[in-house]
Amino acid sequence: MRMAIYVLCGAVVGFIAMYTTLSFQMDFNFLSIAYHVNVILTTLTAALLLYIVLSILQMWKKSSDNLSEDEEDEMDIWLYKKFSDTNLLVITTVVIGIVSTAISLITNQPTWLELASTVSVMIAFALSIGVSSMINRFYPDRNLPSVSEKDYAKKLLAASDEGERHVMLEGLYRSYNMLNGTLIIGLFLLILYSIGTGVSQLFAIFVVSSVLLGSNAQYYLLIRKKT
Amino acid sequence: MRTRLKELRARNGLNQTELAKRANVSRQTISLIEREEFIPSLLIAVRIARIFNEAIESVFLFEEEEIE
Repeated sequence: MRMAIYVLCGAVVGFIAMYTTLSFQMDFNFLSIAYHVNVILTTLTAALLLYIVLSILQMWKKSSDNLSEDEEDEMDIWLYKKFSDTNLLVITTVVIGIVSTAISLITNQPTWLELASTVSVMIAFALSIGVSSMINRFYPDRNLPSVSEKDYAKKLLAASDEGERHVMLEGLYRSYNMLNGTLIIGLFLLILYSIGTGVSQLFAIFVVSSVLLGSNAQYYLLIRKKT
Repeated sequence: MRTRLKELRARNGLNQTELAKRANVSRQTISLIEREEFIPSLLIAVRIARIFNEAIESVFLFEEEEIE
C-alpha cells in the first residue's frame, strides 16, 4: 500500500515537474552568480574544516582523560556520538569542497579561488583519514586495523562484533535504499534539465546510471552467492 | 525477548564498559542487548550468563509464543 502511494506521489510530482519544465524555458545563467557561490562554498568548507580540527582535538583530549568506573560508559557514549558526528561532517565537507572546486575549475574563477577550493578538499581528505584513525585511539585494546592497511574497510568489518554489525547493517540498508531512490529521481531531474535548457546532461546521466547499476549488481550478486 | 542484564549488572556493580570487556564484545553491543534491540548469538549469551553465574534462560527471557 505504502509503495503504491509512493509511486502515485512520484507520478504526480513527475508530471507536474515535466509539465512545468516544458512550459517554461529555463534560461537561468549560473555563470552570473558562480563567483559568489564559489566564495560562499569555499568559506563554508574552511569553516567546517576548522570545526573538524576542533572536534578531533576535543576527542583526543577526552580519550586521554583518566576516568572513574561511573564515568566510563558516559565517556564511551560521548566519544561514539562525537565520532559519528565528525565523520558525517567530514563527508559533508568533502562533498561541499568537491562541488566548490568543480565550480571554480569549470567556470574559470580567479586562481586564488581555484587554489583555495582545491587545497580545502585535499585537507578534508587528509582529515577524513585522521578522524577514521581516532577509533584506534579510543579502543587500543581491540585489534582494529590501521587506516593505512590494505582492505581497511573489510578488516574493520571483520573486527567489529555482532552488535556493531547489526547497527551497521541497519544503517547501510536504509542508506542503500535511499541512494537507489534518490539516484533515480536524480536521473529524472537531469533528463528534465536537459529538455528544459537544451543543455545535454547525457554524460551525467550515463555516470549516474553506471553507479546505480554497479552498486546494485554488487549487492545482488553478493547475496545470490550466499545461498 | 526480555533480558535481566541491567538488573544483573547493577547487582554485580558492573558498568556496561566493564561487562563488555569481560564478555569480549563492544559496549554498544551490551547497550543494544539491554535495550532489547538485539538478540545476541548463543556464544555471547553463554559468555554473559557465565559472568553472572546464571543459567542462560534466567538472563534472557523468552515468551512462550516466541519459542513455539
